[in-house]
Amino acid sequence: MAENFNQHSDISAADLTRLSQEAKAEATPSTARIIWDEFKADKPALVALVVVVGFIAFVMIASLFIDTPKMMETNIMNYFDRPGTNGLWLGADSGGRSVAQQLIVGSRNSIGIAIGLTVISSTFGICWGLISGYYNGYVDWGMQRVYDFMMMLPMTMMIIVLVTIIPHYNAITLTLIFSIFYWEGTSRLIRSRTLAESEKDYVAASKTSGTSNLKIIFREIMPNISSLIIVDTTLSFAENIGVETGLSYLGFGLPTQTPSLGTMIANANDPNNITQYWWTWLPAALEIIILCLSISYIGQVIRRAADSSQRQGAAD
Amino acid sequence: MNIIEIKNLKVHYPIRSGFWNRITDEVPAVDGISFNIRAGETYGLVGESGSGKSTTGKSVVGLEKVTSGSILYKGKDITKKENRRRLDYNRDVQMIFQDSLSSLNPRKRIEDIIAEPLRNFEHLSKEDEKLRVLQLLDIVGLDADALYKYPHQFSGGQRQRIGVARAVATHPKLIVADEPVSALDLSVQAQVLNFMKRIQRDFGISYLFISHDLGVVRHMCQNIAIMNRGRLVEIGTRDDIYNHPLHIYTKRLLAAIPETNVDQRAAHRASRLAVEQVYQDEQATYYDHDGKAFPLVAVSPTHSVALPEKLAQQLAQAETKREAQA
Amino acid sequence: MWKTILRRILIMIPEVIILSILVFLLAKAMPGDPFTGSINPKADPAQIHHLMKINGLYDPWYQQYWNWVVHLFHGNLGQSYQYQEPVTRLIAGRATNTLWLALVTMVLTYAMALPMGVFAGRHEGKLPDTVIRVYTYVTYCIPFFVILVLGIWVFGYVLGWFPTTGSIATDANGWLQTIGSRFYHILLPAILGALFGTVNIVQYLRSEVIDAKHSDYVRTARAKGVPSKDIYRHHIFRNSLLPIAAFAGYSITGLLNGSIFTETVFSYPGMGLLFINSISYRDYTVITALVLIYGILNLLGTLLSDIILSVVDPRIRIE
Repeated sequence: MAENFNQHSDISAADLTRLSQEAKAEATPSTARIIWDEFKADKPALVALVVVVGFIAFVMIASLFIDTPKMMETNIMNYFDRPGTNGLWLGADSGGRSVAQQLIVGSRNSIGIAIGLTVISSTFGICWGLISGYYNGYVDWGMQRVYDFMMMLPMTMMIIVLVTIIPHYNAITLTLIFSIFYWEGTSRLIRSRTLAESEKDYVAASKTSGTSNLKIIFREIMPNISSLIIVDTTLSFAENIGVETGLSYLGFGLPTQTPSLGTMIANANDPNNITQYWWTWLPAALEIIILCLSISYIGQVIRRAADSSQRQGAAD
Repeated sequence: MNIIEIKNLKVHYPIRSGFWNRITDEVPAVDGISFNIRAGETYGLVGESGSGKSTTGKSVVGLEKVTSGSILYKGKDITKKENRRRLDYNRDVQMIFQDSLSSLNPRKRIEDIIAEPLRNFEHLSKEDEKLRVLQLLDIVGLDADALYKYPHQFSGGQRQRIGVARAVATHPKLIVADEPVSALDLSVQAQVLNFMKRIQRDFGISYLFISHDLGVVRHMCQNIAIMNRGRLVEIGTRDDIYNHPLHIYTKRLLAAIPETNVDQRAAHRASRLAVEQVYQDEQATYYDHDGKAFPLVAVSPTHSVALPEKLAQQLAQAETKREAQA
Repeated sequence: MWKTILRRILIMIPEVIILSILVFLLAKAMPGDPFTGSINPKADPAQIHHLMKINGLYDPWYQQYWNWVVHLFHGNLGQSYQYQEPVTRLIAGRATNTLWLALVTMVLTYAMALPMGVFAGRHEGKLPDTVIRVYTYVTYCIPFFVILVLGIWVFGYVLGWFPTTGSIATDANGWLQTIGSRFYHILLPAILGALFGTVNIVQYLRSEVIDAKHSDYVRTARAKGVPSKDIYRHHIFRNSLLPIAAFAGYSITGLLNGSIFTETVFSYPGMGLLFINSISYRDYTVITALVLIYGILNLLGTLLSDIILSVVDPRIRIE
C-alpha cells in the first residue's frame, strides 16, 4: 500500500526533515500564548493577576513560619489590642490572639479549601457534562434526573447536616462534602456546549476514523470547549471562596481552633465586636472582597481572550 | 463486482413524548431502499433536501443507527457494530463531509487531523506516519507547511482537500462523499471534483456521490439513483436518467437545471411549466395514496422506475418511440 | 402544555420520596439524641431509655420512616424536643416571617433590576451601562454573607438607620405600628438580598434589549416613526417580560439558601435561623421537616419557572 502512495507523490523519506522544519516555522501561536498576550494588553488584569498569585504565594509561604497552636493560645495581656499596639499590626481579638497571624493562616486554609473544592467539583462537573451531552439518549436522561435531584436539595442545609454527622472532620472531608453539592453549575454549562459540539461533523469524522468514544469526548470535544472550561473554573474559584468561608461563618465549616476567613468574620456576630473592635473581622471581609473581585476579573480577561472577536492583545 | 449491496434499508427516527419519553411515532427518513455500488465506479445519489440521501450515506459509513434492512460489505452485514469492528470497516469505507469547516476539528493541527485514521488503523512508526501525511498533502495539492497549521487558516477549497486527504489516508475502497462541493465557489468546485476523479483513477476508489446538483452528478457519475421522500424513484445509467427520464419527479429535477443558452430561455421555461403542471395534476398516478413512491420495476437491464408495472412499460415504450422519431 | 406540566409533576414524586428517605436517614445518623441532658441534667438513664422507647426511637429505621410518613400525611410533623411544641405550629410561625422577607426581597429585586437592565441596554457602551455593569460584576463576585455583614455594620450599627435584630419591636402597639415595625425590620435584609439578586435579571434584560435593538422588527418600527419610548415599552420590554417572570421561580432556591445567612446575621426569627438553632440542639424532627420543606419549595420554584417558560417558548414544550 505504501508503494501506492510513493508512486503518486514526489515526496520521499529524504525530504522529511526539511519539510517538517519548514512547517514548524509556519506554526500558529498556542492558546496559552494568546491568553498571555491578552494579559499584557490589559494592565488592570495584569495587576489583578499579580495580586492574586502573589498573595496566594505569600500566605502559603508565610503560614509555614507561624506556629498555629501557639498562635491560637489565649493571651490576656493583648486582650482586644488596637492595631499597631504591642507590635501587633492588625491588633488582637478577644483572646488576645494576633489578627494578622490569624489572617495569614486563615487565608491559607480558606484558599486551600477553595482550590481543592474547585479542582474536585470542576473535574467532576466537566466529566459529567461531557458524558451526559455526548451520549444523548438514555444515559443523558438518567444523568439529567440525577442532576434535577441534586438541584432540588437545599445545599447549605444538606452541608450543615452532613458536617454535624461526620464525627472527626477535617479540611479534606469538608472539601469533599462541599464538592458533592457544587458540581451542578459546571456540568450544566458543559453539557449544553457538548450537545452542540457533538452535532458537528468533526465528531462524525472521528467516528469514521475509528476513534473510540472516550477518546472523542476527551481528546476531540474537550479541547474545543477548553476556553469555556478555563473561564468557568476561574469564576467557580472566586465563588468557592465564599462557600467555605460562609459555612465557617455560620459555625459549620472549619473547627473553631482552625482559623479561617469565615470564622474571623464571625467575630462580627457580637454587637460589641462589630462596632468597637472592627479590626477583628473587617480585614478578613475586605480580603475576601479583594480576592473575589480580582479572580473574577482574571476570569473576564480569559473569557475575552477565548473570544477572538473581543481580543485587545496582538494575536494572529 | 459489487462492493456494497444495500437491501431494503430503513432508517426511522423516533419521536419521543408522553410521561416516560416513550417512542410514540416515527419519521421514516429512509424507507426501504436497495441499490448496489460496483467497485471503481462513482454512484450518484440525488434528491432534494430532506429526501434521506444524507441519512443513506451516513448509514453506509456506519454513522447512523439502522432500523432494518442490511448493507453488505464482503458478504457481512455492516449495520451491525461487531461486524464493522471485525472488518476494520472504516479503514475501507471513509467519508467526505459537506461542511469542510465543521468536519475538521478546529483545535487540531492538519498533521493530527490527517493522521487520525492512520493512528487508529495502521499503527505506523512516527517517521512513516509523517511521510504518509506529507505525501497525502502533496497528492491533494497542498504545501508541506500546512502540517502545523489549524483548519481556520485555510480557504474552503483547501479545507475540502484536507478532508479528502484524511478520507484517502488509509487507502479505502469506498468513499461516501456527502455534497462535497456544494459549499464551494463554482471555480473551486471544478478543481476539487477533478482531483477527486484523479484520486479515483490513481487509487481505484469507488465513490457514493451524494448531491442535489444534477450538473455535478452528470460530470461525476456513471450510475445514478434518484431519491424522494425516503424512497428511490428511479435508478439508471447516466444516459437513462438524463436522456430518458420516466418518473415525473426526475423530469422535474431535470427541468430545474438552469438553461444558459439565452435564445432557448422561453422554450425552457415553457417545458419546465409543462412538467410542473403534470407533477401537480398527476400526483395520484405517480405516487401511492400515502404520497410515497411505488416499488421499483425494471424497464431495461439498467433502468428501473418506481411506478406501477403497466404505467412503467407504457411510458418506456412512449420514450423509445419518441427517440426513434428524433 | 398540560401534558408537560403533568409530566413534570410525575417526575417530582419519586424525587420527593427519595429526598424524604435521605433526609430521614441523615437525621437518624446525627450523633446524640434529643433527650440526653436537654430535659434535665440530672435525668437518670432509665428515664431517657423509657422516653426513647415511647417515642419509637428503638424501632428499625424503615418502621420509624413509615410512621413518620403516615404522620406527615396527617399534617403531623412531630414534636419539637427543644421548644416542646408541635413542629407544624412552630414552623408555621417562622415560615410567615421567612416568606414575608422573601416576598419583599423579590419585589425589591424586580423594582431595581427592570429599570437597570433596560437602561443599561438602551445606553449600551456608554457611562450608565459601564456603571451598571461594574455594579452587577461586584455583587456577583462578593459572597452574600460578606455583603450582609458589611450592610448591617454600616446601616445598622454605624449609621443606625435600621434595626439589627428581631422581626418586630417589643413596644409596637396596634396593627399599624405592628405592620410598620415588621416592615422596618425586613427592609435592610431585603434591600441587601435584592442587591445580590438583581445580577441575572439585569444581565438578561440588557442583552435582550441590545439584541432587540438590532432586530428587524424594531428597525421597521423605528423606520415607521414609532417614538423610541414606545419601542422600548411595547416592542422590547413586553417580549422579555415572561422569561424575566420565569426568573422568579428559579430565584426561590437562591432566596431560601440565602435566608439561612440573612436570618443568622439579622437574628431574624424565620425558618433559616430555626434550622441553625435546631442543629445545635439536635432537634431532628424540626431539621427533617425544614429540609423537606426547603426541598419541596425548590421543586415548586423550578416547576413554576418551567411552566412559564414553556408558555413562552414552544420548543421547551416538546423537549
